[in-house]
Amino acid sequence: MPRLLIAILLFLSFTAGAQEPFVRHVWLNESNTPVKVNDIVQGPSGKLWMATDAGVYYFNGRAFTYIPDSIHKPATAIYVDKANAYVGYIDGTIGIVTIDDIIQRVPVSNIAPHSAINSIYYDAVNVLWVCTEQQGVIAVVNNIGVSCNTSNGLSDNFVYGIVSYHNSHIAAATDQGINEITLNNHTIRTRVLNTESGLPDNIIRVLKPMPDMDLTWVGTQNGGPAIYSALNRKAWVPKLDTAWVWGQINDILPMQGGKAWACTEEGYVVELQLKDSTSITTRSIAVPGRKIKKILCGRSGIIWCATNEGLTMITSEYMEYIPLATSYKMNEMRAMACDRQGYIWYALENRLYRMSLRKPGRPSLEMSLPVAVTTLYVDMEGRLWIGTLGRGILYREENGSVTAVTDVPQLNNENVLSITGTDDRLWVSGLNGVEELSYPGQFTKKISLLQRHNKRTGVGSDYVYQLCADRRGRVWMATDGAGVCLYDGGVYRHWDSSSGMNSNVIYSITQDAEGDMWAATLGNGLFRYDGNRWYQVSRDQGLQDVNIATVAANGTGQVIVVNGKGVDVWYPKSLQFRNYNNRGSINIDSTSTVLNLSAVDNDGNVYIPFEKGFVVFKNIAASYDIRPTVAVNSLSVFFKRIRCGTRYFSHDQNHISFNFIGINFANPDRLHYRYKLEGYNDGWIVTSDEGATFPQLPPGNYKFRVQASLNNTFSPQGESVYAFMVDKPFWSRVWFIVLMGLVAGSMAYGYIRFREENLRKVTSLQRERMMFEYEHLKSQVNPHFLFNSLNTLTNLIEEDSEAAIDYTTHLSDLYRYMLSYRDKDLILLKEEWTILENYIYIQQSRFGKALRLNVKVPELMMYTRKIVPLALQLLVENAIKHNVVSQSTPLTITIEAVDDNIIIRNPLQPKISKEKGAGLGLINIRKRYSLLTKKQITYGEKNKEYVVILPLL
Amino acid sequence: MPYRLFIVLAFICAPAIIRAGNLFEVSQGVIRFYSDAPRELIKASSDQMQGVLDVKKKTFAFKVAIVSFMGFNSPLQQEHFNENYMETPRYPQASYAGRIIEDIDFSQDGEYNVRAKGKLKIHGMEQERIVNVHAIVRNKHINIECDFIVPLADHNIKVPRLVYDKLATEINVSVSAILIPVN
Repeated sequence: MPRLLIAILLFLSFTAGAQEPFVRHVWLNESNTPVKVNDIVQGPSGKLWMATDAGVYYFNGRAFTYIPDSIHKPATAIYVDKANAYVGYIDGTIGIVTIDDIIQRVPVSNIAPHSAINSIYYDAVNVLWVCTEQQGVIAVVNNIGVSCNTSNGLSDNFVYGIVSYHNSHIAAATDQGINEITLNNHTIRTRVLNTESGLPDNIIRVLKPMPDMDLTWVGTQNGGPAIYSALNRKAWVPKLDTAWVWGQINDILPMQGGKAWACTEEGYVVELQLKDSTSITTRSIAVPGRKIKKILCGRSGIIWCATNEGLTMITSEYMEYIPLATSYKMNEMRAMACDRQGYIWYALENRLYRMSLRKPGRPSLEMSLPVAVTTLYVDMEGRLWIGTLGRGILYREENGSVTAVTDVPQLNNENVLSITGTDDRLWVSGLNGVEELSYPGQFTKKISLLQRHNKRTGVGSDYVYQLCADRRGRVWMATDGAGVCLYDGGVYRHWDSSSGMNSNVIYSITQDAEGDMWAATLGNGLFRYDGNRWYQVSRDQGLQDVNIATVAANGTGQVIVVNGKGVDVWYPKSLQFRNYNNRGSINIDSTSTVLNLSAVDNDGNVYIPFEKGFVVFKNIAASYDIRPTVAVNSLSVFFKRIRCGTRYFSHDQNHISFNFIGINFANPDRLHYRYKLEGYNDGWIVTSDEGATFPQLPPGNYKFRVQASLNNTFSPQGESVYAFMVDKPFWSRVWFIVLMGLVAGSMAYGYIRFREENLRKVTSLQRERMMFEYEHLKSQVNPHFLFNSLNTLTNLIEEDSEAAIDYTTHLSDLYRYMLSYRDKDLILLKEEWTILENYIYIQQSRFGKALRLNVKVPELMMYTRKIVPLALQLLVENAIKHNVVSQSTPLTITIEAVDDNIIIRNPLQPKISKEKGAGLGLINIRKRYSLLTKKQITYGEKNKEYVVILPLL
Repeated sequence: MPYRLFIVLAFICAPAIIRAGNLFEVSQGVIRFYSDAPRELIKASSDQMQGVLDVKKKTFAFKVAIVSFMGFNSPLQQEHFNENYMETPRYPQASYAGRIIEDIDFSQDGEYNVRAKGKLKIHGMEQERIVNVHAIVRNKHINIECDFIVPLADHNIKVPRLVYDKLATEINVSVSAILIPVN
């Protein structure tokens, strides 16, 4: 339970007297043990960052988050801007807060700080300024430290802080005065301002420039505040309205208009108001038991004090209270008003009290009337008008004289409900309508009735609960039964349930600083009129309760609504209510249920009574914003935390959780959120969890958007956006698809090429074979061969008819084999051998012993190896064709099989005349081989032999 | 070589510098403290204070042995003081060292209010403190007096809940000492 972390101690000390803020102590841990906070700063997201003795924390309004570090030393200074958060430690270590909320050590070379860091500041040109206890100022640029200390002319090495001014000089607060440091042509020049130059003390603990003036607040150790002008290079002590008794100033918080808050070691927060730069008025707030180290004003107007025990919040900027020790309960009063002289008047029954607002104290009883007072009004002349129950009105002049109004008989027995005034008219409402009166004549003091406004004349009702004169002199009436009635120079205008308001019974009507009208209805909440129409402003905008007793407006646009559950204050910039009740925030209960009970003083502050005094809603010059902000804290993939700032996720990292933290200090207990993931779902999801998980995100670009709210008003102001992408898997990315297309294309292309090549091969093989067959047949029907064969046959028939028959058989066998093997790609060596044998027989019949064949082929190979058909026959034919074959020079053809080859060789004994068609046979054999195998055939002359080597397949 | 010569010279000259009268040491000094708690008043004092003041550099260092504090209501109280609160065996001394902020000429007789700023070390914990000191210079004697408060929390001195109303959370300390030139 984060709320348990915040223990509240409310100091409501009812010593009647000064106006006081509500003060609340906030402990950093659950056990309420003190943690010394040395520095505090509000980050860009609104978080409060603290450098403490126990390390660095941030606070979102509900809980403290510790930022882990490996330094384990007290943190003494912190600086946070949009991009960076730097921490200074007691031993001089510098830390940087990473995006994952871990502190890493910043290495510094050359001159590194080794003594306690009093303050740290990162300027616009990337220089980290470190103010140390013993080494002066160290400027760190690109992790290189350069120091400015007593050796450069600094008057002291103990530097509390520095301020850099536009005119390129730096002022350092030291134990020996203000040091003005100017950098000219790389030489450091210093000038010291000390007690001799007009400062009240040499120990200058803080320098803080005013936001809207060219002056700087100076806080000293035992001399109180002073002023330093960087422009005129001088310092002085303005006259204080009272002696400085609040001790050592630790920090100053400058505000607009010469105002400032100083905090002291002795436990005081002192409001300083500079007048004409020569005098200061002071007002002190005691925070007993706390040493206040640092002070800052948050966006919602809370003043935060860093103390030796924790944090302390002070409401002085927007709300205070005046405790009163009266014998009666202050919330039982019936009427109240502030006069021009700084008094607040109020009535209990028939008694009229007065109290000075400048010096609040015990209220004095000014008047006792015979009847009960119902309403009070102070006009522009300072007269206090008193409305009574059943006895009309009377008035009190500023000089104290009291006059009962008797000139208007209609009023004498009137039960007065409300009185207001325009420039020259006094308006009195009661149970018989509204009487428009003249002011008392200057001499005659006579009051005359100018006009009556009631049900019959056009108001629509005789009961008017509240009158409100607007800035244009028109009178607005809150009626019972006829809604809102505006009387504008003789014309009545009406707004009721038929024209946008939910009710005909209006209890209160008020004009705010922007000119809009606010009307409270009976049980139907609040309506706001912008000049055109009425808008309901209700629970959606944070109103706690629709039973409204009082509506009041301060001078700067805030509207204070007292209702059944507490007080709500409308913040026009934030467009919502800040809530006060007896739970959670500031302890206001026991407000009055009496209708229209509030008073506005001359400065625009609004006073509301509660049981033991007045609550003062301050007229705030600065516009504070109470809207919450939200920051994405961490993210996880599959519940495993990853680096915050990761924008790219792969397709399988698609289970993403976001953790976010809402930041609000006005009403942190009401924080809730809505989020959506643009690119995934366009609907907002409302939740009070501080996290959202998206499982199984498809690939795409996303924008996680989260907004925080205290009611039902969400706005993009303060939202947090985290854009990221889940990438497509590689197989659906463009490059992969293109690559795959290319691969498929090239494979198809390759296949087609391969197939084409094959077809081409087959066709060319067929063609080659046909060519060969043709050539071969042609050669076999060579007339020479036939002529020679027939000649031989003729001779044989004559010589040896038996041999002739044999010869004819071989010749026919040769032709038959040639025809039967011609269309085959490969035949067994044995088959080829049969052809060759027939051929040889025929040729030997012709040449006789002149042709010899030398065969060395193993029988086994005949049946295992293959050869292209007719190759051997062709080669033998070639040998016979090209060489001399005769009895005198016989031709020996050697055929031998070696390993994978068959070698055919014959000695070179060339014929003188060459036969036609030489060489075609060998080329043909080579082509046929190349179509079948990669093995090459070789042929040529070698050692006076013609050698042909055919591979065996 | 010139560097070593410098060191030798420094050693020879050092006593002369001291004799020049810049250094003062505590000849008599008393440190008192009292704790004003609802149920018990604890008082003790020590005259074993030691320390030096360099009036030229305006730096100082003082120390006192915790065990030298005497005058408790009872020996048991003294034992608790040393054993439980101050953890004297672990942190035997308290010290205060730093410098004088104000530019005062201590060679001139007179009464001065000065601020001493330095590290106050008690119970092993250092705190940066500014202490207002009343100093009287007469006849080369410097008489100093000061009062200050030691919050127990600042020095991590833990008080058991049982004796919470017997020991104040802030201890009042007063110091008076006479400093004389070092011869």
